[in-house]
Amino acid sequence: MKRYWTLAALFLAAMTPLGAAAQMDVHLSTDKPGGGQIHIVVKDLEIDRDDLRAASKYLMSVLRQDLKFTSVFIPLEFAAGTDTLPDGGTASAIVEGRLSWDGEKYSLDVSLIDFVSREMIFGKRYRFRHSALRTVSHELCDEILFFLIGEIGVARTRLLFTRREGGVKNLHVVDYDGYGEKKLTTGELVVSPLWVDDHRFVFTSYRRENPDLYIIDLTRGSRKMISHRKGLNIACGYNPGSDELVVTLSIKGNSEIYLMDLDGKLGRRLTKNRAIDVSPVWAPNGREIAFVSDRTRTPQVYIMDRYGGNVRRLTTEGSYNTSPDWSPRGDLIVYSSRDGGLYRMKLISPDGLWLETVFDDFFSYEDACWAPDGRHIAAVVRYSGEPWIVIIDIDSGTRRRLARGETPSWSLLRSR
Amino acid sequence: MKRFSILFLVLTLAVLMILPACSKKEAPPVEEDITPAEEVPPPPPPPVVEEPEVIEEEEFEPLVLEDVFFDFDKYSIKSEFKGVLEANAKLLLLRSDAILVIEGHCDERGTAEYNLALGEKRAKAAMDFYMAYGVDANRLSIISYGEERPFEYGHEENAWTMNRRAHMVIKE
Repeated sequence: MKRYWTLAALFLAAMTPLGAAAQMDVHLSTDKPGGGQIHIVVKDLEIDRDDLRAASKYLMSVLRQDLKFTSVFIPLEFAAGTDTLPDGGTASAIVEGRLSWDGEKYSLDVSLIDFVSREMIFGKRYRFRHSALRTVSHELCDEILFFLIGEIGVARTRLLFTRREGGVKNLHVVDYDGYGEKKLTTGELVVSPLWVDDHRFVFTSYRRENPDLYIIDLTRGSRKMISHRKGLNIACGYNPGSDELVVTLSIKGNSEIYLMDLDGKLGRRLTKNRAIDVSPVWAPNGREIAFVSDRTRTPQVYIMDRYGGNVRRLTTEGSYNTSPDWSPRGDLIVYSSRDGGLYRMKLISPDGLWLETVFDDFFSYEDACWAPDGRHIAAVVRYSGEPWIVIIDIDSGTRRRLARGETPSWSLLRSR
Repeated sequence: MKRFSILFLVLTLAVLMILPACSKKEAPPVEEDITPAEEVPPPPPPPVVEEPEVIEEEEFEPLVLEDVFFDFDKYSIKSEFKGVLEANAKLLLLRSDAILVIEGHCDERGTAEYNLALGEKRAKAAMDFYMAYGVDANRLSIISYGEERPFEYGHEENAWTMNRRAHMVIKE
C-alpha cells in the first residue's frame, strides 16, 4: 500500500503544483480523534553560505511550530549528526531541503520524504523575499497537511478580535499563531467583528453614536459604513455561497434578524416577535440559520430555515444558552451555556440528539468561533478577570493562549 | 393641573422681571395670562410646595434624571423603580425642551452580543414607561451599550448590580 502512495506522490510532485492535487486520494488518515498523531522529522536545511543560517533556523522553527499547532503532527528531530531518531523510534515522513540566496530572493527547495523507503513524497521550490519567511513556512505546513491527510490547514489564516483599551474597544488582527498583531482601529467602541473572506470583514462601531455596521478591506485599505439604521446593526454570519450577511437590527427598539448584502441592502426579514432575536449564524450549506431568542423567557438557541420558517428550539438544558457558531463541516454547533457562575462551551448536533460539554473545569469558555478547518475553536477565557483568546483543538482538548482580547472571528481560508 | 398653571405664571412673571431684555417675544403670552392672574393673588401663600424651587433651580442647572436598575438577564422594570421612572417622567413633562437618550447597560457576565440586545430591551422598557406617561416619543431615543461601557469595573456582584441599568442622558 505504502509503495502505491509513494509512487503516486512522486508522480504528483513531478507533474503538478499542489492546488491541482485536490482530486487525489488521501494518503494517510487520522480520523480517530485524539489518536493517531503523525510523527514528522524536520531536518535542518542545508545552506551554502553561513549567513543563511539564521534564516534557515527561522524557517524550520516556524514550520515545527505550525506542524505542532495542526494537532495532527508531532514534529521530531534526528539525533545530532545522524539520520535516526534519538530513541530509535519511527516516523511517517521527513522534511528536508536546501536554502539559497541570489542577492534578492531566497530559494527554498524542500521535499517530503517517506521515512521508511526514503523516497520523495513531494518536492517543491519557493522563491521569496525576506519578509515572506513566515508565510513560506505556513504554506509548507498547509501543503504537508493536505498531502498527508487531505485536510485544508489554517496556517495562513488570521483572527480578528477586540481588546478593551481605556474606555474603548479597539479592533486587532493577529496571525493564527499569535504573531504579527496589528491594531486596526483606535478610539472607538468596536464590537462583533466578522470576516467575510481572507481580507475583508464587517464589524459594529459606535463611532457615530449608534452601533453601525462597517466593512473594511485590508488589501485596499478602505473602510465603509454599510448600515446605520437606528438601533443595533450587528452582523453575525456570512454565507459565501449567496454572498449574504445575516444580521441583527433593532429599528423599532427590538432586535430582529434580517438578511443583508455587503453593500448594506436589506433582504428578507426572518423573525418577527416581541422577544430578543440575536446572534444568527449560517449553516455552512446556507440552508439554515442558528440564532438566539428569549421567546420562551430565557435565551436559547434555535434553528430556522433561510426564509425564517421551520423554527425549532435546539437547546433544552439550562436557562442561558447563547452565542452559537456552526462548524464548517456542518455536523456540530458550538454554543455557550451558563452553569452556576460559569459559562460552559457545549457542542451539539444540529438535530439536538448529541450534546457534549467540552471542558468541565474552573473556567468560562465564551464567544466560541470555529476555525475554517473545523478542527479548532477560538474562545474567550478569563484568567484572573482578564479576557484571553484561546485556541482549542477540539479532538485533543489542547489549548493555547493567542492574545488578550474578546469576540474572536477566524478568517476564511485563503483561496489557493 | 391648576397648580401647575399657577406655577407657570409665577415663573413666567419672575423670568420676565429678571430678563426684561427679551421682551418682544414674550409680551403677547403675558397678556393672555393676565386674566387668570387676577384671580390668583389670594392663594399665593399656600403654594409652599417644594416643586417650584426645584424647577427654578433647573432653569439654570442641567436636568438630571435618576437611573433604574435591573435583575440579572431581566429587562422588566422592578416595582421599586416605578417611582423613579414616574418622577423622571414628571420632570420630562415639565421640561418640554429636554431630549432624553436612554442608554441600556448590562453587567459583564454573559455573551457580549446577547447583552447588546438585552441592554436595548432595558432601555426600551424605560422608554415605554415614559411614553405611557405621555412624554412625546420624539423626545425619547434609546441606545444599547450592552456590557461595553460599565459604570464599575469590578468583577463581583456590587459592580454587576451597578452596571445593569437604564441610564438617563439629557441632551438639550
